[in-house]
Amino acid sequence: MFARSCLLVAPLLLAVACQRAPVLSSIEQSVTDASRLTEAASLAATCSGCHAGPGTGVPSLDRMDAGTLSARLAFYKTDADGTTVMHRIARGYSQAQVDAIGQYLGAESIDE
Amino acid sequence: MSEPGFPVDRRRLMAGIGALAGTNLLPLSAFAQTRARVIIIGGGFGGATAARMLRDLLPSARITLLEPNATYTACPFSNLVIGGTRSITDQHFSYDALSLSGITVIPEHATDVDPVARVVTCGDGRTLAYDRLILSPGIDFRWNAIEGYDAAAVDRMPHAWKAGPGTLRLRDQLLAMEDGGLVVMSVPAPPFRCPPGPYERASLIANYLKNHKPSSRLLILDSQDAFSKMPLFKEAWERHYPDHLEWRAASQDGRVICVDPSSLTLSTDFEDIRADVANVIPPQKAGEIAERAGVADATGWCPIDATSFESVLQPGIHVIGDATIAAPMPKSAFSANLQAKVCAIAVARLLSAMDAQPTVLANTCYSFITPDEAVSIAGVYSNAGGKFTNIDGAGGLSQLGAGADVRKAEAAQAEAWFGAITGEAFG
Repeated sequence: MFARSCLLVAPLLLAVACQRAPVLSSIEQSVTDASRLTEAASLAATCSGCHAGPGTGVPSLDRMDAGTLSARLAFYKTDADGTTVMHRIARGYSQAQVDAIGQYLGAESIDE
Repeated sequence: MSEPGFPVDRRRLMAGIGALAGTNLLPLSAFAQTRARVIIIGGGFGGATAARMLRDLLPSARITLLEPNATYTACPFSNLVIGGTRSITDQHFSYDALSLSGITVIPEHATDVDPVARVVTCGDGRTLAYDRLILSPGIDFRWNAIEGYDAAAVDRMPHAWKAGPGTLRLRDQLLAMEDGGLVVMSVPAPPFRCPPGPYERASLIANYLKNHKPSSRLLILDSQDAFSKMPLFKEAWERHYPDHLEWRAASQDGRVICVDPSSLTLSTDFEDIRADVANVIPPQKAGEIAERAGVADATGWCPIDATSFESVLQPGIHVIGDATIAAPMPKSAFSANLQAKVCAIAVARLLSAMDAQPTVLANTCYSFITPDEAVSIAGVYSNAGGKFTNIDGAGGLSQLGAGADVRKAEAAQAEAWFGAITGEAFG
């Protein structure tokens, strides 16, 4: 993944360097993993505000796969009787966004 | 090339740049510094989270956090300390995990920012250059906006709106008060840090009075006519504290315009009220460094591009957390923590020659109505087009009329949230 992100950045770096040399210092950075700078990554950033703990009171998302995550979020979107904040939050996301979050966090779980 | 983890591909990249330099297309100064320098000012939920996220996203960047306090005292849950059911030590967090991860933590105030030269001056006189600066300065107070309430008044009339010694002072004043006393709380006009915070505090003070000083009473003098989670708080107050808590709206002469700390007197337009314990939450503004950095406007708060969190007044400076103008996103720890993560992604993209991308953000905020029951509010927001907007059909309050089981479950969720967010910010 690292190699891939560097390959992506390299042409940009040289192109910008030729135009605006002083900026070079700023962009001489390659991220560890470009997938962490995607829209899916930023959508999923909300979840860890509550779900980064051991799973007491609020479920841990570790070891949940993409399908489970998407299905649970989709359930929250449509369940009319719910009392948790998730019922109110999930309704703000499209199904495509829910799936993107599920896939992103599901892949993260596998990495760990 | 001795840095740990410096990747092989990067070496090849550097060789390529070296070859380019040989053609004299680039001035030598372009090579003097090759690691991006990101400085974060303020080590609260916003700043600490941003530093850790950027450490993670940009392993070869220099990440520096300026925070004068060695120990952070968290505001969320500090109303339980005032109410006597939680220890202040449960609110304490260190920066050790940040230092261990390779973030340079400098225990100094930032005293000045030069947004043109891109230099921060520290309290010890040191100057630090940055490529991107993230300001997470929290709030400061507008002293004397309430006549007579200045920095010297906080001993007699603690605000306790930054958790720390004032939290304990207010708790100790309640402990020392004789039964039959009158506690008065003054709530400012919005915007202020933690919109439901005064009403959670009122609930927990009333709970303390009910259980320990039953002939005593709390009077809330409010500069607002409506407030966050109002139906839920009013329901809880009727149920739990009918004899111990009175709320007076702005339109009922609730607005405090003047105080006398020596006699513990709070004055509205038409009445002078003598308190036994007075908790004055003063009007607020962005933390002072925001003004010196030129990122605060005439309102005292910081206008930002919501997509990138970059100041609309000073390029290269991003602002997150309570200091920002981010309505409808509230000034909460959850917001600051999430804004930090989204801002970190935006900064990493900008440093990698990519544009910041819009996303969807949420806020969750729990308030205790008794020491073991809580209610919540949630919101979902878009930051597309540089503006925060509510996503319709989402968010809202806990159900009115729900039973104690639901309220207790939300208290357990609040505890889990506190563990998760403090873990994410401080390790």
